[in-house]
Amino acid sequence: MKKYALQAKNICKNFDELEVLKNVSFNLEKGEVVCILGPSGSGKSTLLRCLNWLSPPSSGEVWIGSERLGVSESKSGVLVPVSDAKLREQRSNLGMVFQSFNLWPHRTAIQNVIEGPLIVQGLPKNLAQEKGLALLDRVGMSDRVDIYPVRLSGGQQQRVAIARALANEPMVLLFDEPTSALDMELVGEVLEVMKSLAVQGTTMLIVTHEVGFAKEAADRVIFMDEGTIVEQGLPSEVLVNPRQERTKQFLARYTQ
Amino acid sequence: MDFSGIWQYIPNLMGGLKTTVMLSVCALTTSIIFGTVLVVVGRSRLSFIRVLVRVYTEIILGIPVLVLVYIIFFVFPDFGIRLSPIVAGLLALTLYYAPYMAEAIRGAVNSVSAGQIEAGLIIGMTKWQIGSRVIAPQAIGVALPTLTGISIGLCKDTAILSVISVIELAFQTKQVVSRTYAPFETYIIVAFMYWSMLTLFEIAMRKLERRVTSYRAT
Repeated sequence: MKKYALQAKNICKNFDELEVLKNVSFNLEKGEVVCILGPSGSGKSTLLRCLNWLSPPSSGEVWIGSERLGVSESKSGVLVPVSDAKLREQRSNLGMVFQSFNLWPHRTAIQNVIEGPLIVQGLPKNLAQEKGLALLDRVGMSDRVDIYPVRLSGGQQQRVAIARALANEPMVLLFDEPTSALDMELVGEVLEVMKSLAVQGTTMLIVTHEVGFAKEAADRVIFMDEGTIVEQGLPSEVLVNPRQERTKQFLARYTQ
Repeated sequence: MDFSGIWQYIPNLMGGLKTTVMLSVCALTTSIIFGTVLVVVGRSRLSFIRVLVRVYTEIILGIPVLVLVYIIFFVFPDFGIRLSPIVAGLLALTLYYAPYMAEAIRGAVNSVSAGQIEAGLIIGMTKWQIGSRVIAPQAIGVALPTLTGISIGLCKDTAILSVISVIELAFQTKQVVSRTYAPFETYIIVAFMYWSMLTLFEIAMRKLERRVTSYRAT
């Protein structure tokens, strides 16, 4: 049996009457880079929020490595939510990069990065600092270490956010449209960083509208529409010769 | 105007001012603490606790502080709760001002974006850590201007405690006036004392605000 970094099994998510996700299942292998594409409102971002339990699925299972996220079996065999402490521990295996960066404005670039190592993992200050510097270097931000987010461009903020997501050394890095809030000329620098992470073997699940990036960097592409996976496969298949009509329509719109 | 008869009573007035400052500091501290408690408890999962906070807030907003002072000092003893004037006064100011403080704090807490809180959850921070390390440092800066305004109101309202014979500045003033028969001059001096105290307070708060929001400066 293959070792998966992340598994989604039959994820459903309803908001009252509205079915946002319908039986979504897929696996993510260690070191794999998977891009999720699809029109707005197709449930991509909701899926990520289910996977990291920010918005737990209505039904279905999420597995991180060999552990089931969010719920565990009690002695009598009933599934119960895990304790807050357990959930925190499980979540630290997932990194998350948000569309709107969500850096903490009252902390400098490096303080944002080392908050996790320092506060959650309890690393001594000097080791955390070293780690933070190394991570900022990895995302090309070593000349902006002590700058507050308000003085960074969107692209720079997102690179710091990526370094922050890496700081817990997560098994999987989730990206929620990481370049959608950026000005055109800043998209490139963020995608560059993500490509370099891909090359280094980081396991990544990326919700994106960047078809070009998906073609270039993804091992596999998942195309979603109306809460279901329409098709998935190699970028050279799905993005170049899609089988499904809906994928074709989407690509026609995005690659003009 | 003749100030000559008043100089000898300046120490009395300064003593009153000292008590006023002390009352203000104590009541500010307790009302901000109790206000924070109201914010936290007001977000409780238990609906009856939330309702309790709301009802309490509504009642307080509907009565004058003077009435609350009288209730605590004159009515509570009927139920076996006998408090000294100072304690009764501090309790009244705390109970009265906490909901106002809570309102300012609640607004500031809500001004911190949900995304920042999620970013904290995702790296595995506890609720307490998110509260103290993500929300509080930013909320303080947002709340300070409003809190300062409310605090100035509170400091001025310490004068009301003179009616239950707390020997603070307003009480001392009345004493001095009754001895000097120079109400005009005495009240000018006392007004200046209140004004100086509050102006200093305001300047200090503005400095503090600039400091805690320095991260926003571009």
